[in-house]
Amino acid sequence: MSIFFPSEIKIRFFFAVIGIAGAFFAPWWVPLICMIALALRYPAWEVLFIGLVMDLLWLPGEGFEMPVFLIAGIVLVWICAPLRQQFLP
Amino acid sequence: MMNSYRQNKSPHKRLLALTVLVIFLFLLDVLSGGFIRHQLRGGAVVLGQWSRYVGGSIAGSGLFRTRASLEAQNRSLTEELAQFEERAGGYEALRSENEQLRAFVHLVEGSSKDAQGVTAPVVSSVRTSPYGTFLIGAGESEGIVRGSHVLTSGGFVVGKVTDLGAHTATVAEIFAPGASVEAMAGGAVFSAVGSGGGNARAKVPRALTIRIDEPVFAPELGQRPIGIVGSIASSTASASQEVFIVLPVNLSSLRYVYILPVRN
Repeated sequence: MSIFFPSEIKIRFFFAVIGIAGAFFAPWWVPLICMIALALRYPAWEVLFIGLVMDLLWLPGEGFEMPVFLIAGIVLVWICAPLRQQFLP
Repeated sequence: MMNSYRQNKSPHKRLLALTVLVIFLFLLDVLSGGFIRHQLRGGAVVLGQWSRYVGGSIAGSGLFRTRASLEAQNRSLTEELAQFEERAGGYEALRSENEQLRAFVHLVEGSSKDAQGVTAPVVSSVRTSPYGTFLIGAGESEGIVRGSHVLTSGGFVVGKVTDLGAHTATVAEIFAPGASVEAMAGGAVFSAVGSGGGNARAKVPRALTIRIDEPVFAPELGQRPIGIVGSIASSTASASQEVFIVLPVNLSSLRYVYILPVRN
């Protein structure tokens, strides 16, 4: 396995790390892209945690606000499940 | 043909369990008044300070300069000169920080005595949050209360404290995307809608005389300035004109903010 053809686990780990670190430091669209990429390819629980971390970190905390990223994570993970089963080898 | 991995139902069961877990964690945080959130934000502050320190060290070391410039530098600079440069760089950083803090001192002196606030460092990037919020490195222990106004060194209100940890606080931008604020310019009060990054827009009657660079005040924020008029778009076919309000300081470059108590 060369660095040019990384294993699926490495790719998944890479996106998960970028997504989690991006929740702290990168513009908000970086974790979103990681969530979409992970959800499209894997049944990735990391998507849920990236969404949770984003909302816990950045929601204003004044009254009840819609946790958009957490909901997006749940929707992505479960909507992409049949797509993955249908199209991925 | 389905492979054995996809026939295995356990990943879906695990995913379902984890979905329930994250929902539970979120609800637990809401019900506990933000216990998990405050721990996480405390960690984010520490991580932010470390990353800034490491980033500054890497930038200072010249690691990402081009090879040619590094070679030229190696030829021309002696070790002693490099030390002087390092000292000069340190002095420059201190001078810039001192200037910012001095501006806050003027701001404090300009306020009434019972309006004494707290100067706090901005510890997160405003671009990171999708909700128009950022974190500051001062919280309940430093005397900050929910609803306090957050000012720049120039006295412009950039946000309000919406959530408090022991040593961190979350600030919601006045011009967060979709946020609405009562604004006043040209002698008229109108509603400005934020679009993030210190920008907002408002529709006002075309008969209203508003000049570019005119300060915009917020009656609900103690008549403090919230921005200036950046541009105006009007058409003869329309009864209204669109006013674009901008914060005269780049939010991303803010290093310190001044927090005024809510009673003011």
